[in-house]
Amino acid sequence: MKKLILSCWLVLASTTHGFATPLSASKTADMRIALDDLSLALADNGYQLIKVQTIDQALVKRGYADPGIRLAFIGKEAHIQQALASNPALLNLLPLRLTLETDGQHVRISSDDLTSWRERFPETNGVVQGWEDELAAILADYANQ
Amino acid sequence: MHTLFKSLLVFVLAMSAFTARAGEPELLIQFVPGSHIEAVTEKLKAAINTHNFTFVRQQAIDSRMVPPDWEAASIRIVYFCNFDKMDNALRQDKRAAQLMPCRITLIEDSRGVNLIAVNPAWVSEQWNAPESHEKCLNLKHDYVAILEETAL
Repeated sequence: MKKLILSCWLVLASTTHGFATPLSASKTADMRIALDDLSLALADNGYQLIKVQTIDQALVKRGYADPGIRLAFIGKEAHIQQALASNPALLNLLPLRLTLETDGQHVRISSDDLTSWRERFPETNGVVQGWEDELAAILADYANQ
Repeated sequence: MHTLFKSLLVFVLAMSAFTARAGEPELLIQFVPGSHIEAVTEKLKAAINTHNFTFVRQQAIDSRMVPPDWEAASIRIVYFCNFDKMDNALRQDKRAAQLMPCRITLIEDSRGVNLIAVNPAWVSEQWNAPESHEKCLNLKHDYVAILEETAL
């Protein structure tokens, strides 16, 4: 609870007039702890961590500034069957992606904007809403650890 | 996966892009007839290099979700990037991370291989950020050039 009061927030926002606001959660952590906590949250929600893309290290290694960003690709086998049954265009969203962004003290994790997909492909609403609900649960678990 | 079902899948994808509302289409689609996914993947990698991008990795759509022997052979993802563009885009708008790394999905059926990418300009249309949208339009042109070269 203390952690919550001190450092956590969770935003579950919806699109307004097409300007998207993805799901996100933030707390005091460094990247290593954030990834550990995210891994636990994924496991607790039946997700696999497919790949961590260290954008920060890749850019720094080549002499660019550190953007403080890593990507986590996550998923469940069931998502593929759901996409195929709903609209195969959804395959382009899989595996799902989370962006981890640090300011040195906090790590904010946010999803891609899935709302625009629901809006553009109304027949996918149930499937994509289900994925958003799962992502919201994962981000809540991350924030509360 | 059934051939008929895969053909239907590609048809639905094409119709989805075609019937898009005003503005940018969601998907960029290129068909390579009479080819197999392995050969098209190699052509795609060559086109990626030609256009000053770096191949990052390739994987089955269900990689690490199923045992390796069970992975879908007919749906593959190829990731690539350009570090200059990546750095530039992230300096301007951290939401650009949603477009990283660049990605093309390959779907093979009995007629050939479809290459499909999410149109970055469709994504940025929703950000209400004209400067980022300009960059995403340029990135869209890169995607189109890579897709077209792969199909040659």
